[in-house]
Amino acid sequence: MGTFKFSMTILKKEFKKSIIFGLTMLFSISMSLVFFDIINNPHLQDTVKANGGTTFATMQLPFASSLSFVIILFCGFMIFFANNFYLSKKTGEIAILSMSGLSSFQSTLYLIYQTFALILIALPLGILLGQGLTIIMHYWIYDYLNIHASLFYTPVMTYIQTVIFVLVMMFLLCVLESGFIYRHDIQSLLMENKEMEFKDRRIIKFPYVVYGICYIGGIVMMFTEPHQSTSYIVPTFLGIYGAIGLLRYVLAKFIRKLKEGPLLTKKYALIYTSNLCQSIQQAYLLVALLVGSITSMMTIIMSCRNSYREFVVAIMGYVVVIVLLTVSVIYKFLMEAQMRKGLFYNLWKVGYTKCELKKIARNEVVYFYLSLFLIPFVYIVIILGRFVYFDHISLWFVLMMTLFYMIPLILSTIFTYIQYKKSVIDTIQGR
Amino acid sequence: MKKEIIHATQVTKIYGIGTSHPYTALHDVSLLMYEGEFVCVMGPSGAGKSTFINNLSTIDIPTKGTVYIQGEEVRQMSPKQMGEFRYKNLGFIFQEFNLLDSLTIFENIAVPLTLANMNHEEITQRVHDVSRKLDIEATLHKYPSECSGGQRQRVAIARALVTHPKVIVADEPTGNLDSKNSHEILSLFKQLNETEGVSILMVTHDPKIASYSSKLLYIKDGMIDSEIKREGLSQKEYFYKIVDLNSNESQELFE
Repeated sequence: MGTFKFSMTILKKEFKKSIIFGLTMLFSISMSLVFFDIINNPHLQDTVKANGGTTFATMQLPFASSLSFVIILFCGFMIFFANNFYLSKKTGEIAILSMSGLSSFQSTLYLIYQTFALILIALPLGILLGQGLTIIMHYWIYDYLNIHASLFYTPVMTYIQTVIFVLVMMFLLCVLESGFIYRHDIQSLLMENKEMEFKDRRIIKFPYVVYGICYIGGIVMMFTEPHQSTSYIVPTFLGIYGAIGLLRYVLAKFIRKLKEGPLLTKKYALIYTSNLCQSIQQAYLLVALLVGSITSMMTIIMSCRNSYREFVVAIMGYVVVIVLLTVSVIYKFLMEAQMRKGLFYNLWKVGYTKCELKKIARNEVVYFYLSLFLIPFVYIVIILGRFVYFDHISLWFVLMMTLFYMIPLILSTIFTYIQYKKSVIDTIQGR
Repeated sequence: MKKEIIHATQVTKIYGIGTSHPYTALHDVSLLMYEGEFVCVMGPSGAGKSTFINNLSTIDIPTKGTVYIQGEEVRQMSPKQMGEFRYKNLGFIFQEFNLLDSLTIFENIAVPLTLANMNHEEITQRVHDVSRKLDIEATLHKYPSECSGGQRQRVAIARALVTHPKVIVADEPTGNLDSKNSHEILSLFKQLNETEGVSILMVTHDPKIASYSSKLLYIKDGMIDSEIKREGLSQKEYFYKIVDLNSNESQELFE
């Protein structure tokens, strides 16, 4: 059987492995279409026209268009992220192929064929979904901006640019995948899936207190800086740096201390805190991205509040960023969860009942998402609180912004728990 | 009078009931095991050894037949009772160690005690006692991935022993160990069996390991094919008998 035929057979047989990657691509493509429409649609174009210039300083770009472009880039970035997770699920498979005599080039082709097949499915579906979302977006935005135009009109350039975006992504994914194959030998591919232990790979090892100071420092700076939308960006990023440091390097030590003390006698907490700590450490980059993106989008929304067009685009971007990131978080969490099958089975053998195991899994998932919610929440509350205080926005708006952020996280919690339970507890044979 | 610890009668296990290919892994197997016995199960690959001990130790539930452990019928227990029964009375040791990767060695050993709602001091005391006995005190604050195979198996044994179980169920406990570690662990099993009266039910492929037992069951095609008792034999004589039994099986290949 040729590499192509074999890769298609495996893709079909192990389709479950590719679902979330495929869905991320589908959603990202549809979102790119929506935002390319914002850039190209003459009815939605900014009153400030784009002007070229001989230098960056003299160049003018309408903000709604630049923001749309940033969101499209973000969609591309999320495809990369999902591809990275997808590859890490396939390490065992690639190792076996290499052991069976496939060259690095053939292994790369094997991956590329599968990725292309997924893109070929995701592209028409993504365009179709994007078209549907564009009509809904037109309905909403035209009504909001008092524009009288056909809801179904989408410039041809939008489709062309979406296809170009997908082609560029395809090329970059090829580079990424070939790099992945050439970087790994059989041994490292086989070990990749089993490596659960967190390793401190910092080049400069700051004392832990530095992270605490950064986190609190970010909060303090928000109050000391003059009240402007942009003035919240630096404190937020300082705070994120602190929060991530605390999560990665301090949380584990703190939980370990707790486990030596009061948690040792708690039959649920002893297990779920250990797993939770591991999950947070494995997903720290996504947590940082989520916190950074949400708070940045929040400040962008606030800075656009006087321009309807930009304001609407920013809110749409905010929602898209949250949805894409939560999908990635689910993907990452469930990937780690796959590795816990043995752990839950062993707990069952030791004497935990399935009901007790469900409780452990539930607590683990709930606390994971709760920490995702709470880490940026402090910053969101402060930023929005300051805007409310200076009388720029209503409490109703604050509530809406928080709900936009909370609802995807609540839905993800439920979905993640169901999938987690399915893969680690429902598979246990016996009572 | 000897006390029964496991009494299995006509145990049958069929996998894939309701599918087009049901497979009978165990056919009407019976076993009477007394307190303090060290029973070893041998047989070719796929003969049903692991299915046999899993069905006798609550890990799996027989399709037909009854299993009594310490006078309690396994099939009558609710999941909660079964879990409780498991951590209070049985100690499991497996070839793959089955440690919990996200917990330290100390926490791994402590899990059954935490389940039994013991207090902090007692847990600490028991974990230190058992780890001293197994010479793994230095590893208590490490994670399983930071330990060698021999150390990990000792940890698995420590976890199995920490609740002072009546029965130890071991499925190829030395399968991933070198010969030095294998014999050290078997000497420990023997000591536990002889001095503390712990009953042991163990699966192995290795006749040398099997020679530590007091009774050997040879399983073939899901049935007990033969049984050897050590009784007055020396370990060496018993070992030769086991080797004979295995080589008779191999001889059949050439006939």
